[in-house]
Amino acid sequence: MGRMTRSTALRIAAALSVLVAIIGITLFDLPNLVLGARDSEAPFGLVLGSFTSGVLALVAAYGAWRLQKWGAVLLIAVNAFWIVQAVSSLLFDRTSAEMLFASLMLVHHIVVISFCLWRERVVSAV
Amino acid sequence: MRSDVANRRLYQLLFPFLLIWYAFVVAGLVAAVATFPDRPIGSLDEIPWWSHAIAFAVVAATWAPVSAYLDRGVHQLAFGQRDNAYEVAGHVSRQLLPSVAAALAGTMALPYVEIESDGRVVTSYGKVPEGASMVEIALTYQDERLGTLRVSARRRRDRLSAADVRLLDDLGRQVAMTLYAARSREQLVAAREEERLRIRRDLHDGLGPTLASLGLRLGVLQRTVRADPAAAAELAGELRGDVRQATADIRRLVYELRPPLLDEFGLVDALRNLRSGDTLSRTVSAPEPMPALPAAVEVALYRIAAEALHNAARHASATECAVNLAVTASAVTLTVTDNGCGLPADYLAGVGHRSMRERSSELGGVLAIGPAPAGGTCVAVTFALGARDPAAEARDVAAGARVPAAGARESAAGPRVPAVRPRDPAAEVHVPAAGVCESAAGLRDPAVRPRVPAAGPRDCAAEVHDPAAGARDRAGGAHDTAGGGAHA
Repeated sequence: MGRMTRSTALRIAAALSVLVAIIGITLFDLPNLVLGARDSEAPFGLVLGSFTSGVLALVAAYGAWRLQKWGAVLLIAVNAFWIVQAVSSLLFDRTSAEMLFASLMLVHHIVVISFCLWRERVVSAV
Repeated sequence: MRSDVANRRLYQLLFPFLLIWYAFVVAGLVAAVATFPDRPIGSLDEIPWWSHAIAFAVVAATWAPVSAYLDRGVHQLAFGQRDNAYEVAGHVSRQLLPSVAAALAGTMALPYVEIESDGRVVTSYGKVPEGASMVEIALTYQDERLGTLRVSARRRRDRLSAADVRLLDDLGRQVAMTLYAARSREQLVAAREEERLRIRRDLHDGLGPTLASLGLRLGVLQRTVRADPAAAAELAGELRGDVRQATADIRRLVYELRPPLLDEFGLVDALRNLRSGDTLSRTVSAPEPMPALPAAVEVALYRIAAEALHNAARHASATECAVNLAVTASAVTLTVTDNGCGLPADYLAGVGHRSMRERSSELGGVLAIGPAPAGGTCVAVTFALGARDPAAEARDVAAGARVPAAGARESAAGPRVPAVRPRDPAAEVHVPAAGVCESAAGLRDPAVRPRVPAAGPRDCAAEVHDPAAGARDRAGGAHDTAGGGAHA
């Protein structure tokens, strides 16, 4: 494990998650929610799920920023859910841009989960 | 308790969840790569079977490191930093001093309090009012300057009163103790970690390869025992030597952890059997029965006595040495006095003295090294016994072992009042006031009591002179090293 402290790792994970949650909510969820269930560009269930996960990510990021255990656990859960979305996107999306975005998101989610599980070097480990 | 259960549940749920999740991510990524030429796919059925096979192989190959990583990470998340001693110690000391500074500022209504140590500000509280004067209080504990307490006056262009400064002086002692405690805690944790590292190194680099080599050569022996009995016999002889070496290594390791003599014979007999040098005769006096002491204190007393005897024999050319143990309800004092050439005028503490000091300060003891009243050197160390084992207390009470118990024994034996020799009053400062011999002397001649040292080669009426100490020392050498193994 590196020299970064656990608190720093959790705060970075929180900041990254806030960034992605805000991007998802403003660019994808809110426009589709405004359009309504009938006119939504994506399946409305997916939009609702994405919006819920975005809000949860913001709450989890707050907890993780305050170095709370529940925040880190929630952040892991939300990012694990997002990874499912990213992998699905890699398999089923059509354009290269979507695939690139999904790849970036995949890396992001893995990094966030790794930071949530960050462990400082333990000298006494045998 | 409830939080412990919750933590365990969290660990039990999150760890397998992440493992499954990892397998899923690998399968998805491999599928994305496998279907890349045909993308986008219409359904999951279009993923070829070999993609899953590759994913399975990748997961199997990376299972051990990934599961270990996830295990450690989830464990840390669930149970916190309790396996990281450095972090815990740092956290405690980080919390302790700011609390002290805040409490000081709050109780004395000071707008600014700062604690500085080793040239850096450890913690500060509040803000200095513009133009307010600052007062510096030296933080000293056990004659050691640990840092500075800085406080500001309460208002602009104001100064603290003399009463305030006096009070701060008094409180500074408490702050110094806190600072000392924080430092000691870190040192203790560091020392423990060093010890664990050393043991790990010894086991890993010493015993591990030896035992592995033994295993391999035993295999060779098994194969050759019928085909070539002569070679097998020779190999068995070599193996025997290796086993002996491994056993000696284990004994050495055990001895370094805790001298086996302490468990085998108790502190007093262990001191009597301590190897120090070739020609040093020794007297050991102690209360009888000796009250039970904390294990850490016993080890520290034993090691300090060993170092003091070693120094007496090697550096002071002493021929006689008196080891005195005195136990009161609140403290235990070890005094080692020799009749050697004493400390040189330009004496500088060497490794041995530093080691004794470290051992005593680790347990909050006080060590004094100085000239003995009758010439030679006196090493005295006192450990507080604030939190003695209640069972041990009960045993002591039952045995009537309240100290100085030796007085009774001395009376029965007809204690000799020691010949009072002229003494160096300054030197007596180094000698603990309470001791078995003092009490013994006081029984007969109260007037003499203030001047009787706690320990001297010929002062103690109750001393158990051991004329065979020199011979036993030599035997003890074998006893402690090779023989020590027998006790291990």
